[in-house]
Amino acid sequence: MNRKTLSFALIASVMLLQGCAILNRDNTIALNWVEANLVPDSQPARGIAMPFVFTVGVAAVSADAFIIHPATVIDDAAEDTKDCLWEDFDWDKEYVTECASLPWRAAFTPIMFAGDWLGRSMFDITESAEKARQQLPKDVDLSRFQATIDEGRVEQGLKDLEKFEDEHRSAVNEDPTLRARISLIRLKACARDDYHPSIPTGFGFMAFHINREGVDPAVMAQIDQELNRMEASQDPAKRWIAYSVGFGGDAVLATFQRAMKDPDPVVRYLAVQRVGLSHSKDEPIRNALGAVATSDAEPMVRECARGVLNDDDSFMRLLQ
Amino acid sequence: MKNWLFPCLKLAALVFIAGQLCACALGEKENRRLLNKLDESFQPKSTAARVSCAPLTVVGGNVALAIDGVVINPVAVVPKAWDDTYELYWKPREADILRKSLMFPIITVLTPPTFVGDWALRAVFIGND
Repeated sequence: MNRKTLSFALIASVMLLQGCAILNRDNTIALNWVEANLVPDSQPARGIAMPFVFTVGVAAVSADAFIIHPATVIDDAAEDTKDCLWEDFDWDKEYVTECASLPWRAAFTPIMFAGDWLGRSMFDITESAEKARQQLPKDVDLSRFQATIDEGRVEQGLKDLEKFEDEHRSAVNEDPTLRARISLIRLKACARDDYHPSIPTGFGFMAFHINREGVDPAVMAQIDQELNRMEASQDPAKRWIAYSVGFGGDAVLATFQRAMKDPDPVVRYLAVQRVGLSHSKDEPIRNALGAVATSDAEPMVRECARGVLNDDDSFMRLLQ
Repeated sequence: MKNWLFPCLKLAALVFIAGQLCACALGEKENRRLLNKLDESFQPKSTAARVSCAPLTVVGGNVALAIDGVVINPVAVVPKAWDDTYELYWKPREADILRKSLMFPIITVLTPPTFVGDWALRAVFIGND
């Protein structure tokens, strides 16, 4: 391949890659201007002006691809680099580690910035962490989902809520209180007398995981109230959901002990599996598992507890 | 000048790549045992103390990080690498004597490379999870 062909191939592939970004109208400022100002509205004038407009359009789209759009994403790339490399310092507890990380952070800053900027220049990556935060107001209104559920259309409300969560994934992940408010609606739906959720199998319990850190205490209090209601429910699936939320919190042992008093052996079995998955090395949990392994009324539960204590993979595989 | 520059650049690139590779395991707090000890024992409270200690701590911290990556973590993952190898080949399984006899030489041959591969993977990337 001679130099001319190689250059052409390079330019063509860059143009193709650039296409990804310039396919979005938001990224073609110059072309938008040409469309708005240089294209005549009436037909004969439109046809006559076409050769001129087309030439200007090519120049505009090239300017968009190679100059304007890359220039406009510089601040996003800087923001990404700052978020990724220059935040989350813990100088109080990890002073030496943070000091040791400084040269590495500095060394990676230009690499990260250049890579991010190139990626954002070429592809249509419009969402930065800051933009994602801005996409939803702090107290975004979730009442429509609650209203649908209150009307008795629980499945529909939960489906809409899941769609909303998927559409605003990054904003939800960055706002613990918003995440907890979504979980609260989900829990309220599950706690309803006219709704009977199925017991989440496999890793399905993760849908109800609630991270309490950084959550508005008022929201957390409502969640705890719902969890208490669900634990007192006659429905084993509701009780299991309440326990599985507890297993993701701080009071794992207390939750486990309550779960082990549950009348339904399936709930007890699942609880043993669940603590086995993430807490089988904790001494207090092992002691509690030891008691279950010898004294639970259900042989299946005793066997499961013994399996977890013996680190038997087959019990864990059942979850996957 | 070129005579010494090229080997130096090569060495710097190697150190950089090795550092990057180690960083995968060292990215996890539990794999930075020495650095964690230093964090626990050395916590200057005032900003002035932190700033004045920083130049030495940057160097000392990176020495500790290198020791974690090159010595402590690779040694610490040896038992886990052996556990993995044992689980894979040597854990007693239900099998008749014919199958066991046929498998014995194969797993004997495969044990050293598996152990070394697993150890290297754990030392560099996974750690002692």
